[in-house]
Amino acid sequence: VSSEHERDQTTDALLRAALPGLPGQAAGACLDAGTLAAWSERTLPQSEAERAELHLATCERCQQMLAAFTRTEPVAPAAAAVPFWQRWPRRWLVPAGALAAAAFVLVVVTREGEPPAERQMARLEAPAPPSTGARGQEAGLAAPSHAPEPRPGAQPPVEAVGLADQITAAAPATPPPATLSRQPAVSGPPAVREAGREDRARSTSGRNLRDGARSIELNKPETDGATRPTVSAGVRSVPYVAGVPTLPTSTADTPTAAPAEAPATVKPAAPKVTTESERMARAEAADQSTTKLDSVQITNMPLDKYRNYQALVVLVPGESAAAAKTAGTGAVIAEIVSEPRPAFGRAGRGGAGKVPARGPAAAAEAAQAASDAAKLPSTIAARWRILANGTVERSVNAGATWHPLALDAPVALTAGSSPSDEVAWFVGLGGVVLLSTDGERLDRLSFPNTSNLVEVVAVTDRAATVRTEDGRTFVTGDGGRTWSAQ
Amino acid sequence: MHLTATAQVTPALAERLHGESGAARWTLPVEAFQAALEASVAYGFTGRTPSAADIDQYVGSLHLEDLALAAACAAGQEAAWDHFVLEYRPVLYRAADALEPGGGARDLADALYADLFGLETTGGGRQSLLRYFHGRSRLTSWLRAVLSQRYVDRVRAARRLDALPEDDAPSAVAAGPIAPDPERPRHLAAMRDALAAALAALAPRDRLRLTSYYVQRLTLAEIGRALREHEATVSRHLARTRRLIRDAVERRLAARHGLDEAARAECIRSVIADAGPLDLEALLGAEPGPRKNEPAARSR
Repeated sequence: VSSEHERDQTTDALLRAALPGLPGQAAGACLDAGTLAAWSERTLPQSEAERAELHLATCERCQQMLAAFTRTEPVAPAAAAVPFWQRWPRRWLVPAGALAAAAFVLVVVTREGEPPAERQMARLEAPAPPSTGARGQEAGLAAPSHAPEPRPGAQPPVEAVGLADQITAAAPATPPPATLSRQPAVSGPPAVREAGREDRARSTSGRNLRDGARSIELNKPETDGATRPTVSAGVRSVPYVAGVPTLPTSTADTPTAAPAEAPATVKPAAPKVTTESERMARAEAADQSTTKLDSVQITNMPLDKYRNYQALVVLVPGESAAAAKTAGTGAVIAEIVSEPRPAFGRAGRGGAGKVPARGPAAAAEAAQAASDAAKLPSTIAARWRILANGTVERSVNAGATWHPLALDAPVALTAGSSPSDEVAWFVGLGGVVLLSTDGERLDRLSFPNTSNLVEVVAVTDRAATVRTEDGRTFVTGDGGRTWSAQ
Repeated sequence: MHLTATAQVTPALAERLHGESGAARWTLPVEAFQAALEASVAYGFTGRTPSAADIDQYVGSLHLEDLALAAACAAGQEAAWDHFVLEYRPVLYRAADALEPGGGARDLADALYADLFGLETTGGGRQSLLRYFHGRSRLTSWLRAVLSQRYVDRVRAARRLDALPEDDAPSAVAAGPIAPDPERPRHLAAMRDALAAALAALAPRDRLRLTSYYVQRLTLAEIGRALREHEATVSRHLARTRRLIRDAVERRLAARHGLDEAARAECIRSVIADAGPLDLEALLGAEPGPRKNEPAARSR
């Protein structure tokens, strides 16, 4: 680590010394003031924006212009100091907190009256044994996603009990859960762990939710792909995953409150795992369980928060834990389930509803959405997943096998939504919108600006809504040919 | 460059947009606003012939209120100009002070202000610089961009005119190498080649981040604002790009220039110690932007 740090410092010094004097050749004509201003505001058409950025990257004069332009930008102190996810309207925190509290109660009640075998288990798998350092984990990141079952004698998967506890088993007669979190209960460095525990213990208020999310973010590593050293989880080492995300609720329409929900419902549950045999028995029971979960769709996946995941497993309707375990080994950062939705903006999975519910109406709307969601068919044929390298894969046999979709150039994806077995929309950084209508290839669609897109909700292969990092919403009804701001 | 409008904005569309823009507040005639729209369309579709739908979508994305104000100012509407003076002149001054806190850029703002008003006359009427505003961004952003452009051009021109130090001047003496290293020219040439190749292989955005940080000396926060990225994201991408460059440079130094590990390390040390004399192009054009914070003070 020290060597790598020194190496980075040397490179930093080298660039500092040599880069300013390095001659370059500009690509294309210099930007005029109007183009620079429009590029800065992300209002240029995509092709023009790309040309402008290519020129900016190679033209010293225009770089100087951009630098001067940036320095003249007035900075609102409050807005500049607060990250975008904390600038979301606080009105979301009240309904989100209420939903989280309701979900917590529901989870507790469900757990009390239900035998363990009926609960689904989610797993975070450690691809390397505990003694393996960060490099081993990086290797795990780069490993093929189709990892074989653990060898005899190898470390079995580690149960993320805190995660499993948060997945409410939605028996047919049971109302669907309001929240789902993938927060490992006891992993992470002490600062995160303790802050998270404290927040989780009493965080039903918006303030605690927000603070919890912030404490995690502040401890996020600043290098790509790097994982923190493993931290003892009491029973077994679990790789630390930075910026532990929260899935948007499966029923509540709460897109903007998603990251802040994480600490609300996660309980430190590691002490409940007592012995190896108990854990194995429990895992075996979960593997064989056919209990259907309410479906989960990831629609809010900022790569900054998720890129350090080695394995991110989402249990989906009709899927057993064994399938999820196989699917989740490796660098899967998101898994998406094809599913029809009854009405856009109501029971939207993960909730990028067109018009978010506000105020007291949110709870009622969420309850209605939950009811709608419970009526959805649970037979899922196609599943999609985004790998850490930007590849999108599709499975039509519940995750037993996966095949990659053809894509002209790799892109950084952040979210996806699949309204049917053949159709999936994906969005990413820099205004990337991809659409697959045949399950075989992804086509890049034009988008009016180069904002980072962090959420998408698709209804059909023609109708979808995307949300930018700064909260703007764009809608298309013609398969991405035209977009209109909402 | 002023483009002649070739695309037609229908009177009905112009009428509707005129209403939406609030141009009536400045008593700007529909025909004048239509001309501004057509100029913007011609600019936005340079080299292309837009369809009616393209035009409709394009004009719908414009900042119509700002376009109406600019068109009214350019047309000499006093109410519009009064509003501009009230609202936008302070913007210019604030931007100028941000460029040079000592007030050194105020003259640029004043000169720009005069051009916006249109002191120069062509064919009997004054020509306002505002006619080049096409509404593709906010007017404040455009004004800042114009001021930044003029500031940079002035700085670059001044650098070209700066006299080189005399041969016996203290600065010239101090700048000379103390202990010439026979390997140094080879190291410098190899490093320039390797770095140029590594930079060329970068994605445009990675390269832009890198030059913004190392050449233009923007802080991470400033780069984040320019690229609409979070500061931490900029930091991570910079770290990743450094790794890419380091790997690429070492590979090229080994493969193309035949340097073994020890020689590569020495080459890097040598360049870090002194990157060497700038070439003519760099002397004429490459000058680091004013550093607002020292490196240690900048967050990395």
